Amino acid sequence: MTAADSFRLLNHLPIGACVATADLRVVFWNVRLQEWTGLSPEDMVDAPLTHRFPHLAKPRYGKRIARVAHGGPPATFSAQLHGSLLTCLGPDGRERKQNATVSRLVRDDGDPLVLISIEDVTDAVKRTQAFQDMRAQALRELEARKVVQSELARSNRDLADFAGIVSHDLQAPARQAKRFAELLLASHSDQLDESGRTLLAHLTTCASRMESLVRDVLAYSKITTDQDDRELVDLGVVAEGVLQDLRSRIREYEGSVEVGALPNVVAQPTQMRQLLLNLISNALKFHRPQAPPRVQLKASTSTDLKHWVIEVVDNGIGIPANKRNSIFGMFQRLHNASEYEGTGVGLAVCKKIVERHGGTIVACDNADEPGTCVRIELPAATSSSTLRAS
Amino acid sequence: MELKPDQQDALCELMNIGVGMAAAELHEMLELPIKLSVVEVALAKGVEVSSDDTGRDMSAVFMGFSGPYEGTASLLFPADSARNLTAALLRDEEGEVELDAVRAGALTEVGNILLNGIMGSMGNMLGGHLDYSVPDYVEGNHGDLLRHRSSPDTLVAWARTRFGIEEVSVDGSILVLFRVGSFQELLSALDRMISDEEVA
Repeated sequence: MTAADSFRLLNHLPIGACVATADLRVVFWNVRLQEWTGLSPEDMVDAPLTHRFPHLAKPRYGKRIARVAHGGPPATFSAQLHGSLLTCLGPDGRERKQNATVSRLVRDDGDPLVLISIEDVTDAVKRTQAFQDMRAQALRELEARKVVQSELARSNRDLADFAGIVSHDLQAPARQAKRFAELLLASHSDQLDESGRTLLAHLTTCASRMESLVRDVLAYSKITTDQDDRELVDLGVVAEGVLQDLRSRIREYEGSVEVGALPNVVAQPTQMRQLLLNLISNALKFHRPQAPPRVQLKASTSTDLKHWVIEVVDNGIGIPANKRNSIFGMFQRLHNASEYEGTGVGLAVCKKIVERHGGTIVACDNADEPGTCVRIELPAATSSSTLRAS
Repeated sequence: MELKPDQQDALCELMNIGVGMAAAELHEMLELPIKLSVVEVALAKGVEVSSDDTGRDMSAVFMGFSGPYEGTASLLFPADSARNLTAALLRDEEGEVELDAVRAGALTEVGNILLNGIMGSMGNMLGGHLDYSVPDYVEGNHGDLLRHRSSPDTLVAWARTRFGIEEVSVDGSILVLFRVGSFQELLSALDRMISDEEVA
């Protein structure tokens, strides 16, 4: 029986297989290796393997293979550390990647042989490489995004600082201008004619308005995203405080504010106070002529139970559908100051507060009667949060 | 299981010779400075010698042997150490070889070289020809990996090794598990080795 007959079975395996003597003279070369290398058994059998694959003579290969031939344990050569053992090219012209194992066989005559079995792992290595490239690319993009976000955050901080500083510095001259105008009106109005007094009154109004604007811009710029100053806030208690502050205005408008059960939320307490104050003030202020304002503050949970839904509902003048988004922008007013006082900053402040707390705010119609409903969704503090009646 | 000091020294020397051969081979192959040392050795029954690792996720290479002595030579690394070691071997600067396939290929070969060194050294001492299986890479819980490869009567030659490649240093365990009945032969072989050295 020839060597080819002895090892013919190796032609039926899905691996490359070469049998060689201890000094690496080829005894058998299977069809899979012929297919991969383009070298036929006629080219290879009886020739030293190192003729075609000279790197096998290097100690890093030769010594390990020789040790196997002389009775040592099998030796493995991984694609990761070597690329390939019997170097050959794939259909794309690139080197095939191989996991190889060299183990010992003993011929009937007692002479040692080595079996070199080759598993082609080119596709697996390619997929691994593609995955690693993709991962590296994703990490690079993530890093770049972090840099941009950090730059954006810094830029926003700078802008907020700038707005804060400018507002703070403008506050004093605005206040002084108003005070001087008031002093002038109080002390020297008899020296002015009717037209002069009217102009002075306009000046006082303008200075007051500038003071309000500066104060509101300052309040807007002070809304931060700092997570550290958040705590569990009982919105019912906050609402009670707000109603205390608005007591005289409610009386003035002969209005009423009904507060339902309100939840606890994780929030910055003063910002929650500002939020409710702005919304209830607006609801009172934009009432219909000859119709005392009736305001309802109520809460429920979203359908997925992950958010609190807080609604401020009024019976006021309402907001046209096409203005319901824009009213949350800075200095957006639907009416002139002679009709309804204000700076157009209040709802922008509300939107900023809500968004900084991970929530949303929208305006819609009062479902029961003419009027407005401002609907806020804030993340529920805990799954076990409950509503508290105020 | 207590070894006499001479036997302990002989076993330590055997393990050191084995890892020394492996270190030289790895250095030649990878062209990287490789430090391999045996920190501690023990001979015991059962696998409790390394019970600190029980329950840990491990990467392991097993290579069976048979002949006058039968058993399994194994190299075990904690999974995180295996990841670091592979990253150092492959010069992966990110230091995170996450893919099993990559880790398996490289660690199988490193385990193969290390276990071949150890078995070469022990085989010389024990005498007789041993046949070996192809090394096998397995990941899993330490206890599970060893449970079905050993019994309470299994004799375990255990060595804690420290592997250093450039700045990376990881500890692994080499366990040579001998089937029942090898204990006295192994002690005799160690004693023979000691007396040969004394004569020399």
